[in-house]
Amino acid sequence: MKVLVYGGGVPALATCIALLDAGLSVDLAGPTDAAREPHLPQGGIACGHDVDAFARGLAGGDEPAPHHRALAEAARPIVEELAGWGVPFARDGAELALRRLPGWPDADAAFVGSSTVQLTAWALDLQLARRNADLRRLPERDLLELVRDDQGAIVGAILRDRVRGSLESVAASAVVLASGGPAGSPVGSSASSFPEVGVAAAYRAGAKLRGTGRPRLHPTLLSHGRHPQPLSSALRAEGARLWVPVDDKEVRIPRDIPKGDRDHFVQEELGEDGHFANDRLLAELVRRVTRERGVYDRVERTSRETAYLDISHLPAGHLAARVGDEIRAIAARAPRHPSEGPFEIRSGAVSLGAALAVDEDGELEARTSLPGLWAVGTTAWRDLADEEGVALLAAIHHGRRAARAIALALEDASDGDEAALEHAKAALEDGLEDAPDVAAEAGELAELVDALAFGDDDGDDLAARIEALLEETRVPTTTADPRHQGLLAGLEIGLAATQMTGQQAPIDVARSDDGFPERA
Amino acid sequence: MTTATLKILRQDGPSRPDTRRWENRAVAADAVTVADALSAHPDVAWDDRCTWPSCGTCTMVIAGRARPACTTPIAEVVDGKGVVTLAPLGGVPLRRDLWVDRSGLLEGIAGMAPWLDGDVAAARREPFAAFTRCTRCGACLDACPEVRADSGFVGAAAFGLSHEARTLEPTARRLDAIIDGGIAECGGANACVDVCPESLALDEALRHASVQATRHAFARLIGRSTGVARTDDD
Repeated sequence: MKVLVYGGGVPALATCIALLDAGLSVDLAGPTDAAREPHLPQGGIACGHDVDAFARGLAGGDEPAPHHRALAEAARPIVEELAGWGVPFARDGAELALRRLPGWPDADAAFVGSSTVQLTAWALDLQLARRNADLRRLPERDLLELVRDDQGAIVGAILRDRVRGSLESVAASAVVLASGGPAGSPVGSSASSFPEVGVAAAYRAGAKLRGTGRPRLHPTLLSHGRHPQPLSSALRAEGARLWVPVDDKEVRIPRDIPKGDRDHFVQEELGEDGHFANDRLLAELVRRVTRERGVYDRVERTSRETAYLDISHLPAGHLAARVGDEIRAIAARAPRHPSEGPFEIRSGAVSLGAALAVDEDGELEARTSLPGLWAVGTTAWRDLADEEGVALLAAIHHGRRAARAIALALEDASDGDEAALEHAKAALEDGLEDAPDVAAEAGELAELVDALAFGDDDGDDLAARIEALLEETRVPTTTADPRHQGLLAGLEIGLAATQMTGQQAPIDVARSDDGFPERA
Repeated sequence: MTTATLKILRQDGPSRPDTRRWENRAVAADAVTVADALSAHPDVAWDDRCTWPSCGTCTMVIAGRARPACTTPIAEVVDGKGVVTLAPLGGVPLRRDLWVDRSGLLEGIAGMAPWLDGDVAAARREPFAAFTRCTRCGACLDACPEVRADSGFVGAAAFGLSHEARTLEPTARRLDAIIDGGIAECGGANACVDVCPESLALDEALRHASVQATRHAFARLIGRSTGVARTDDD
């Protein structure tokens, strides 16, 4: 019984460890080396101090479901275990030092400076290295296609070696997607990195997508440089403050603007604790305020729709120890060092929020709508309030739950179907084509996602624009260019997400026979 | 930023040294960091996982020195003629253009079994904590004259990450790995210390490893144990 795990970050590593501990053989394939997936909050790992309150918070204030309670209960033991595996969490003496978790009044976060995810991944990677007898690593592979047998069950996948360009088929009794990619992420990605390839492969194979039409928003994207970069909420937790100039034609540089001429709109509108509000609430506020009176560009004579984020009032040594990576990254981009004065941020969409529909409770937690296919981490849509804040904790917990469910499900499963795999591989090899250059389309996709996220455009028009872009870039079957694969994936998911526009309750969308999405 | 140019050392694949060439690319007006500038040229291959100083993969030789593209402002590395030179990291196999293969480094590190045992007291972890900041970017390999000379030395990162402070006692397995990793080849140039983006005290880790390895090698020679508490830890 062999399981193929596709991914490279914390969810993939946590799932692999649990699968190996359950006695299964594992192939770990992914586009990168394992332990190098930093697209998760770096601010810390949620560690609720009151399990009941934390569970209620996870359920968005409603009565918690069993899976909310299980996640809340798992938090502390997971943090303790990670500490035992070598994650050097900040401490006050022997006790963990905790900081407030923005968006979570009833939970704190354990942290290692601003590198919590990186060091957690590293500790998990080492744990995996201790269990390498039943593990085969297939790094630098793109997932091209998931293969199903006559009964519709997943029997393996076709991967492409990124270095050599060759295709290979991998048979598996179960496939776990842990490749990230809540679909349509326009931030932090160059034309060459689209994380949603895994989600799109599952969608093409027939798996249902789930979403609410409420894309994930981020309140503080660093606006200097080519690509907007989400700044860790740890900055806010450490005391960073947002403001805009009172005068909407203010021409002084921000550090010369006296206190009386600064509008601290977050405290003004949300109270003293406003900076600890959840990402969505704060992002919408930042968006509204900066549209009315953002930072004035005296050269262009227009407002830039940005606000200032200020950490210059905080002690530099404290910041370096607790959010050092963020400070270095900002310093490399902003006109002056963040300790010397405020820098500009804007709010924006970080993803469309659609992901694979999975079972949330019960014995087969993390199973998608396709037999044999499972999803963990942000690849799976989970009913969690303000998921970003607890993503690291949820990644580890759900990875473990998935492994347990898979071990249970595989008791009477068959091995992969070699004939079906070879057939699929041959079909792909015949269809390899030169890809068009996609740099321009990638920019257009990012714009479309932003429009969709903020509801700036009605769904029909967006759908038509995405369809047109999809027609333009679609080649008969597949190409050797991962950027092109990524763009197509982003477009397919974006199109599916237009079906969810305006939805409050989650809905499922599946691909219809003609290739276009339909509400399931 | 006005009229700067990237001068990029390109090569079409690992086995195509005949295609090695310098090519110029314009720096886009809105580019601030080297990563920004490169992202406007998707035909150039490089490893750009996160464009944040977390993963280390965008480390390349910028203006003659290994540094991460994501946190290196163009203004700091542009020369008098407005040129920024970019070359792939040395000391590791080349894949294409600025994209290199770091798997050897990762294997070297794993070979030294640098995992922390669960029972290590918090006080014992402290000296090691700094080394966990290592992103395995490979800058120390690029700088190392021994790695460049292919002497069999696995490079400073592995020794930093397996620094003995993290376990209760050095095990025979780890000490063997230190010797096999070529600690004897370390010439003490300390070039790794100068380039490390995380400013880790790699010289201290190497010195420690060297002392231990010498003792262990001598004991091995005369057929005695080094007095380690356990013979293996996995």
